[in-house]
Amino acid sequence: MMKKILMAGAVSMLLASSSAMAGQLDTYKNMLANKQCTIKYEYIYQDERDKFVTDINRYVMKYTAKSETEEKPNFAGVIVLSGDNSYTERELGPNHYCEIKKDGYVYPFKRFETDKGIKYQGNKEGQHGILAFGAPSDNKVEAHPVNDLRELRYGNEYGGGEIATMLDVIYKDETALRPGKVYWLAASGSLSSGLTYEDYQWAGANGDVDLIRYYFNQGALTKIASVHYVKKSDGSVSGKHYVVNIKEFSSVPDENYLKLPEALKDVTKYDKEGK
Amino acid sequence: MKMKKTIATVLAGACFCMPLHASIAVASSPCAMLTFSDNTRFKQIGTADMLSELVLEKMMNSGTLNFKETKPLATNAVIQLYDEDGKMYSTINQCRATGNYDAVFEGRQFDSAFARSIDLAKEGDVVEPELIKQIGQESGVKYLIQGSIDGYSNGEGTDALAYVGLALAAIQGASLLKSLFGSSSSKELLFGVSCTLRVIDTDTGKVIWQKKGYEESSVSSVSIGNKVTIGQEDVTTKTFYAALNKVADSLANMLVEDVKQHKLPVDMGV
Repeated sequence: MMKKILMAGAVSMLLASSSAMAGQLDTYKNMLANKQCTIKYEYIYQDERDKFVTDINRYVMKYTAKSETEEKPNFAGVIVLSGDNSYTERELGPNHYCEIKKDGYVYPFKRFETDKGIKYQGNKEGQHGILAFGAPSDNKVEAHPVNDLRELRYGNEYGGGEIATMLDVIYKDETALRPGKVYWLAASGSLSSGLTYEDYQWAGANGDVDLIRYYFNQGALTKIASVHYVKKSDGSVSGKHYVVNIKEFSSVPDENYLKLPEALKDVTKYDKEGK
Repeated sequence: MKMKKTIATVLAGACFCMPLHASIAVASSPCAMLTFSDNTRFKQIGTADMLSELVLEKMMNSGTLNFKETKPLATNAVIQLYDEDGKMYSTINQCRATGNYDAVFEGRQFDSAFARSIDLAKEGDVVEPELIKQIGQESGVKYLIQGSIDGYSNGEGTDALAYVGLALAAIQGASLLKSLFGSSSSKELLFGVSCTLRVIDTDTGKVIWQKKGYEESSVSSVSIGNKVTIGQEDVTTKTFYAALNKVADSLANMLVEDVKQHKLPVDMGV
């Protein structure tokens, strides 16, 4: 009898701890669902093969082949969500590629440091949606309207590339017409280091598979690692691996990021309704 | 006479104690070349084999390195070494069956000390130490030289004829030439190959040297008055081989020069 009670207790404790661990992403899911958060991350590993898989422009190749700085191009990034307004930033070398989405308009610009201080370059006038930056003296930006159709189709995407996928797993915009891959919780547990984790997976009918592990330190999301494998028609497979370190993931949007820098002049020709 | 004998004895002793030891150390550092890895979409055309043989031939001709094998190694262990994605895919499927994914996320593939794959390995990274050791033991070498084809590029070069036209414009007279070049155009098409070469210590699997090389080859044509075209208008197999030859030269020279200048952390030189 005693044995049975102990067993039942152990089972219920296991179930309780498993479900408690499995729910660790819920805090972050709520932040994304409420569109209220500040995320600061560092993209640790980017597969170099992405750049060297096909024939590319010789100038690009020449530059990347000779530039040592291009190797293992880790980068830092920022994502701020405040209702329908947002800010994303990716730091690539000396350049910070930024985008403010505010009141239905998108303002893409680049921030970089020079000997004379911080400079800004907005996109060129008349080139809506294209990150074609003007001359260094430009210091102006022309916004373009938010692509509502794309958001309706795929839902909101933040940060671009794999970081967008990793956030999408945490919170999928189910109102999207084509929400894309659906990941499910595959496992959860703890490591000898004291960290806990949740594993999510997606598997395609043809053998493609994605796995994403979310690491937590006392409930706080600290790291995301993922593998993405594609099965080719000849039976071979090719994979990509990514790691993102989460430096901050808070429920307070840093509103400072949502303001255009003072040195960057807004030259948008707004329609009759205004902003 | 006695003095001469003493000096000779001391010199002989010194030779016996030091240089012999040094020469043994150098002679005991044989190396072998692995077939290049190629993860580009042009893998099927067999560039990796051609390039490996070219680089090996050029390095052997330099007489700087002590090659144990005169052909690039392409053993089963080498094939396994290049199939890191296949191995990881098997691991993933095993993990999916057991529901424990630690082998995927807590293994070497996510350990920063290890290279994710040989073609992405940087200097200081460790590549599959057991397999590298096995290849070293099978071939009896201390160092492996390995290269990867990173990609191909194409594009147009500078229009040399435009410069000729500008130069002619500055010359008084030359009206016939000017009218000819005025209605002419030239085209330079380029084909480039980007590769990486590495040296790996078979005892540890560590990449101890690595450099990138990029070279291109071109064809040019001149069209006069849209009627006559002189030269070659398309990139051909010849251009492709020329680019391969140039990049093989460049890679072999980089390693040979660095060995000669003792820039490697070990003495591989003969």
